[in-house]
Amino acid sequence: MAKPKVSSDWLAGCAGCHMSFLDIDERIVKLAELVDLRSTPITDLKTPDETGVDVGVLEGGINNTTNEEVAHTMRKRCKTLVALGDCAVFGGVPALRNFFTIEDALKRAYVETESTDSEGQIPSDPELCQPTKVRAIHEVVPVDFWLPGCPPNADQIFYVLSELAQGRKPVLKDNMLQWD
Amino acid sequence: MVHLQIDGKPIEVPEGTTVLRAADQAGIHVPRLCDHPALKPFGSCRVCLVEVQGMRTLQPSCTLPVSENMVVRTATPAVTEARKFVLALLFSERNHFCPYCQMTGGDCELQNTALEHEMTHWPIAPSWKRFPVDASNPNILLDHNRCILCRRCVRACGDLVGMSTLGFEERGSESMLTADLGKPLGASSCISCGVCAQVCPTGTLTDRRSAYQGCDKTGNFVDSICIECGIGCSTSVFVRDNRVVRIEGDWQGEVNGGVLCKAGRFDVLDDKPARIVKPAVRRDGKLVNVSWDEALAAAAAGLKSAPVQALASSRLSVEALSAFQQLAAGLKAQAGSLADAQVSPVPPFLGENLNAQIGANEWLSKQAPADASWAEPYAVRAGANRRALQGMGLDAALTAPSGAILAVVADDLAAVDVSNAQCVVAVTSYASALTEKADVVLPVEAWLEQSGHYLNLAGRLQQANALVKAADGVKSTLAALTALAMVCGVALQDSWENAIQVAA
Repeated sequence: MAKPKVSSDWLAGCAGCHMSFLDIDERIVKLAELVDLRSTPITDLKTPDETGVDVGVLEGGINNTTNEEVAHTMRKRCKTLVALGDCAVFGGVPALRNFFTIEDALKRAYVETESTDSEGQIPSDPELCQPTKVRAIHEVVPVDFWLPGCPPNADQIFYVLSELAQGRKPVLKDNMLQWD
Repeated sequence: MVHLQIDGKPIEVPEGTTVLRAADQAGIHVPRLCDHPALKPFGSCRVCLVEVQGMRTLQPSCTLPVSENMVVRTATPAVTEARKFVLALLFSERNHFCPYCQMTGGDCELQNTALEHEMTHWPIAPSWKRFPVDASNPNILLDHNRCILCRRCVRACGDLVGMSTLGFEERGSESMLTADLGKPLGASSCISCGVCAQVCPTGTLTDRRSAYQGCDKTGNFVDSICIECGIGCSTSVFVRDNRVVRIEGDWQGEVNGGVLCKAGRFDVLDDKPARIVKPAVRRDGKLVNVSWDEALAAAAAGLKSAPVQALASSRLSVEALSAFQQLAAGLKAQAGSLADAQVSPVPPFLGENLNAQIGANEWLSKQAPADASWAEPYAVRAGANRRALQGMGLDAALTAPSGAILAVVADDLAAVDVSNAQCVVAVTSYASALTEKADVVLPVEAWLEQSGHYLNLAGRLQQANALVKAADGVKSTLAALTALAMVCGVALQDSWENAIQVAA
């Protein structure tokens, strides 16, 4: 039987969850024996197979239209979708932007920053994505499994991935469950 | 007595007990957020819902009195689902950012309850409506984004402290905690007693000084008493790495029942003058660090050079005062005390509400009507051990001592006029005007490092316990006076228990 295929990507996150994933250290060798790691933001392949993968992992919340597209693509191509980390699960720190209008946020970033001269302009190229309200992934696509934490620690990530790889549903509680 | 059953366990409790308290007494865990052992039940959070046989809907156990033959179930699937739904609603109402909150990781009762119910996400998304952060009070931070409207703070401020500064305005999703019906906390009648922050189950009302300095599980709590005045409130102090991080009121304290005031909770942690940790002797006009033996010898010589006036601070423990008294007697000194730093009117809550459950009741109830001090506006902020000083006959205030002065003041920063002195031996913890004039300085423990007994204004004998260890070379006041007595050839024999007359 072929090894389950796993893909990951990151959206409005800081990459900390992927760094925490790497904290599994030498257990990555064990994981490579259990799964076929297809695409991640930190390996060569960047998008999951068009024929689909078994487990998709998404770090970071949704904060623009590109994030929405990636989330939809991952949902379509992954049998099981995992939201990794507080940003993906709750919205996280980027969700602080929801307290301001998108217009005000863009003005602050591109026009009013202290290091910007009077030529500051909000980029408007049609190729660029549009910022949206910051949301948890499950507000855009159905999510099968949530792993909160900022970041979840390596033990928690290893537990979840290895359980899913062996066809079991991970149970999060006690030292496997945290929200910070 | 009422007989009921909780989760199959037969329980017997007095009539009037709530189902929640009955479960607590029986060791059955029921989660709750708005309920608190020191406060009257309120029933706003709905987390403590339980199933009661024969009752159509789930009931909040915190407000439901037990009844005969009641059958209660606290952990059925229906109850668990209801609790998870309640939690989902609580998280959806405001903005709960766990990653950067100082309560995260164990000190937040809301987070702990969610984790207990294995919540991995928020089933209901928040609206991201922005709520204000009130940073106007230098001691207490108020972040409305984290509030679950439990009213613990309102109940504490009103019932425990008697101030009723905190209240709620508007209704439903517009409900808002408010001080004085609309003032910033720092501009309101708030007396910064901090009891609200101590009862708050989330990070809404927090102590600013201790933020991000380690959650409770990273240190330990030491029980002691506050020695900022004669009431003697019991404290439970969070200490980490030999540092006092946060002072809380001890809910089990018989005098104060968990309540503290600004002086004992916050002001004591403010910056102090330079700390003295080495013995010193004045040579050529300057204080020079010397060994304890040298300093003690110089002190003994100085105290032989002229008639001695010895004064003690009312912040000293009974043990230290007893040694002081005997040493003073052995030196044939005139012994008295430091005039207490400005006896101020009582913390306002005592003046406002005579029914406040504070030790002042104890004291006030023991005052004879003819007692002159009854007419004073409850001037209880006399020194912690003023009553012991009185009992030992050391109460005479020596305001401008002369001759050879033995000033045993430890961490008391009250001013002493030593301009008439020929020689000054200062037994103290901090640099001050006293040490500017001192000929010998003996370094002793400050309030947080010392242990000893204190007699509060009502005559209750209590024990202060050391919270942290003093620097090497710093002695307890008792040890310093014992060593000084030895060098002066004075025998200290009498025990401190005999030295005071304990009026229960």
